[in-house]
Amino acid sequence: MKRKHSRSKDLTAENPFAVIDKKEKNMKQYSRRGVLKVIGLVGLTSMAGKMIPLPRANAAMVEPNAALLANFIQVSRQLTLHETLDNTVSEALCHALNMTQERFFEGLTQLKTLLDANPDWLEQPVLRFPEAHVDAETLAKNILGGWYNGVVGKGYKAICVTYINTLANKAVSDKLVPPSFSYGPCGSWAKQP
Amino acid sequence: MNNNLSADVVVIGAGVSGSLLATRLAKAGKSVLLLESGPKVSRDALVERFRASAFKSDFMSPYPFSEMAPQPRYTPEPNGYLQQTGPHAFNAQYIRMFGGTSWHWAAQLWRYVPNDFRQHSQYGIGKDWPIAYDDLEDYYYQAEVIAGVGGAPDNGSPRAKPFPMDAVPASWLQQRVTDRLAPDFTVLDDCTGRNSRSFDGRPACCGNNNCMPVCPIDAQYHGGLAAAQAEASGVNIITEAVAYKLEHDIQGNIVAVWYYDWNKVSHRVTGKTFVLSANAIETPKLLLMSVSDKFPQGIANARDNVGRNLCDHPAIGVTFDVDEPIWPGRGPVSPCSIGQFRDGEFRKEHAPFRIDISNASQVASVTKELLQQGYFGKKLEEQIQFRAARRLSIKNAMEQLPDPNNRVTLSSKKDPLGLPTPELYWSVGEYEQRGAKVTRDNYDAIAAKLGATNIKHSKEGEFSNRQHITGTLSMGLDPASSVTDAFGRAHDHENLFMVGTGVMPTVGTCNVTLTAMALALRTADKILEETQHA
Repeated sequence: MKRKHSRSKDLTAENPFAVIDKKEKNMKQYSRRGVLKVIGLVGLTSMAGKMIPLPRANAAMVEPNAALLANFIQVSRQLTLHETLDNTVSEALCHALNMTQERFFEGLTQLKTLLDANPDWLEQPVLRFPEAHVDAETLAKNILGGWYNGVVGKGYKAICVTYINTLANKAVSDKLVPPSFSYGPCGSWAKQP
Repeated sequence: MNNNLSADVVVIGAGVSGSLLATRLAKAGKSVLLLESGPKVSRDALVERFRASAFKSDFMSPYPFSEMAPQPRYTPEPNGYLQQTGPHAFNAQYIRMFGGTSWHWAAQLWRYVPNDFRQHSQYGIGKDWPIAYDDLEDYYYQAEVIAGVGGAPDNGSPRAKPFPMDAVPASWLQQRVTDRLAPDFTVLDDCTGRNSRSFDGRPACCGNNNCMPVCPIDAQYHGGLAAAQAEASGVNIITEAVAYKLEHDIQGNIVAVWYYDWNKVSHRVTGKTFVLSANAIETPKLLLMSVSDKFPQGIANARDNVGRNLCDHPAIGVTFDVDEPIWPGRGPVSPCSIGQFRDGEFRKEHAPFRIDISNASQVASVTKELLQQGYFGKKLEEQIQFRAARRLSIKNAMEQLPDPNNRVTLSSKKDPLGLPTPELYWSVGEYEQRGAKVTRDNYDAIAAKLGATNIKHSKEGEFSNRQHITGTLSMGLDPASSVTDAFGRAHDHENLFMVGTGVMPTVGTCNVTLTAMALALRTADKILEETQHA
């Protein structure tokens, strides 16, 4: 099927609706294979629910090396209290956070330093960093959001990194499967979980 | 320009209503051409898009957007396709795609109750329909057979024959809620087109809890199946065909419809009979765009009724944590409801409603809530388990009275094909506000019976759409106050019919698709009867 998508570009200046089109066009779906080839990971990777052109997005970013990835895994262990975390998801989350957060690795290093220096912060019932470190608290919550809901970033920059492998799904896996997966034969859900 | 397209019957809109009508006409030997503004996308592609989406609670996110046939979107930000001018936002969602909007639904296929058809004569409020429940009973059954509907038999809508399908077994949530709310509240199986056994080449439900936005295994009926059946029945379907003008002759009969393909090449399609089924917002838009010297306000709009009486179920909701684990997320998402407020003398005073009990998984939403509250580590996982097991979500389907001021018009904004986008004015009146108050009181009573904590009502005075858009092409006996006759025929255009929820004069207290399906089948029979005699 041929499309003349260039038409909307011509209309942008005169048609306010074309602005909407431009945003929607950013939600265009790219092939999962193409994305994974670039990112070198498994998992579901999408922006605003759809794939984005990663080479362009990555152009000006620091690539995670082994040390940065190790920092990410250590911080993730501290926040989730999971000693073992899926390596593939770790790497995918690290890449995705780097794509969606400005100066991610700088913030990650700062967060790691803070958590190492203040172990009592992780003994509270909820995350509550001192006022001066509100950005670090936000980053910690974003990292947790990636692990537990599989999504990082907001709005048009939101990326779904993983679905079935979220820690929230794993936390309830003795009772529930993720929506769109099956319970079994018709009525198998009728008994008490 | 292509001028060679022609058929006995030209149908615009390949949703469930247009597809059912087209199928019936094609099977009776008519040549039928069906134009659909959107693309054709397979179910498996939609399922993959759902799983890859960052916005799984947005039921539109799996459905592709095209600037050539735009549709309203609200996530991650509203796209502004529908211009809002009223005090309440009418945040309609609809899908412009082969199969239409019933791709994303829970296959709720309810009949109206008999008094919904004689509301004004019975209660002195709202409107009477030009037909009675009995006129539609057999067509209701025909539609139920096509979709494979099951449900609770004693639900206020009399039946001449039993449901063609057994209901899907109740989830643990449904069993516990039913037991604990009795006898004050009677919880019934919903009427749904969801297979409890293999049917029509499709499997039985296996509880994927993903009825909305798309069933992964096609265990529930939807418009994509209806459109595929139309195609298999010999209907010529052209997708990515955006109708933009109806052309008439000197007598006012429709002679052609004009459409743009997605390259903005214009095509003219001629026919003997024309049927509009492009939903209750896009159909009035097409009529209002079709102006001429003879019809300066648009086709079928000589008395300025097109687009008026826009209705939905203005809904309010509540969530709370039940005092025992009920585990929403196992089985279909919308299995049961409370129907005892659908009809009664109280309708003279306040809006009737039905209360829907959700069985949708709460894992993602409670996790988001807990993360916002700062939970982490083991405490976070304990709370995910606790709240996901107990969180119950309830919403109502409340009748809105038809109000001519609530309407669809054309905005000054244009889409990339140069067609105006819809403008909506919508206000929720005092009758509905009183109904909301009664609903809220009942929510509190339900919560109390379930030992609820953490009760959260939706914001007072705010209403969400249930996507049951009706009224804009209202059928009636009097041309001064309606758009179509009792068969969906435009009062002023002998060979122009309309089907879909727009022709329904009132919205009732249930999901509207089954009534639209029944009316479409009835209109198809009317067209056959007249054209065969001709």
